[in-house]
Amino acid sequence: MDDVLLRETSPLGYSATLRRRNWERHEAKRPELVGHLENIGLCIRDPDIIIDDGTGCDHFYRAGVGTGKFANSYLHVLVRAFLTEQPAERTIVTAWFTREFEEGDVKWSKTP
Amino acid sequence: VVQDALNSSNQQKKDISKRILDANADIAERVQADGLEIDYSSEDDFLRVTVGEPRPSLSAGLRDDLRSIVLYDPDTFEITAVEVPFFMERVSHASSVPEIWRLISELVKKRSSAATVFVPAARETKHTIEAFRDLVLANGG
Repeated sequence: MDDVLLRETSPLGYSATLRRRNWERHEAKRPELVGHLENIGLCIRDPDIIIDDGTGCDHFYRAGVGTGKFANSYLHVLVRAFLTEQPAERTIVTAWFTREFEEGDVKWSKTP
Repeated sequence: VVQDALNSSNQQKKDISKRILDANADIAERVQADGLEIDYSSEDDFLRVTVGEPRPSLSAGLRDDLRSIVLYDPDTFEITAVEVPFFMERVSHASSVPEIWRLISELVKKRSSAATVFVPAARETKHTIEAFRDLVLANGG
C-alpha cells in the first residue's frame, strides 16, 4: 500500500494528503520541486489564495517560498476530492511554480 | 489586494503566452534534437510529455479543453514539458481533443499499467520505433 508522505489541514477545513509514490514521480521529473516538500504542506496549511476551478479541484497558491529564478513566483498545489474519499479528505495531485492563477472563483484568501 | 493579484495574473498570462509563442517557433527541431518522453501514470491518471532532459521550469495554463499545463524555462521561455492531470478522464469528456492527445490516449488504452515511452533524438530513430512498438504490442495492441 502506498504510504502517506504528508497530510495537512487546509483553511477550508478538509485534510489534503500527498502519497509517497506520487511525489517521487513528480520529483524525478521536476527538479524545481526538489526540497520543497515542506513548502507543499505550508501551501495547504497557510495559503495566500485558494481558487475553485469548477471541476472539483482547488488550487492553492503560496508566495515567497521559491528561490533564485523562482523567487517571484507562487507555489501552486492542485488538490482534488475523489469519489472514494471521505468528505473531509482530499488528495494532493501535483504542484508547480507559476506566475499566474488558474481561472475560477476565489474560494478563500488570506487578505480581503 | 486579491483583486489586484488577479488583475496582475491576467496581465502576466498574456505576457507569458506571447513570450512562450515567440520562443518556441523551433519546437519541432528541438524535439527532433533532444527527444521526447511520454510518461503516463495510470495510478494518478497523470500525463507528462517532456522535451529533452527535465530542467527547472515554471508553469502556465493552456486554454484547451483538457486544461493542459505547459512548463517552460524561466529564462528562455522554451517549452520543457506539457502535463495533463486527469488525462484519460478529460479526454473522455472533452468536446475537442487535439490530435497528439488523441494518439497518446489510444496508446494508454492499450496499456493497463504505467507507461513511459522515450522518443529519442532523430539519430536514434530505430530505437524510437522499437519503443513505440513495445508499448503498443505489450498488451496485444
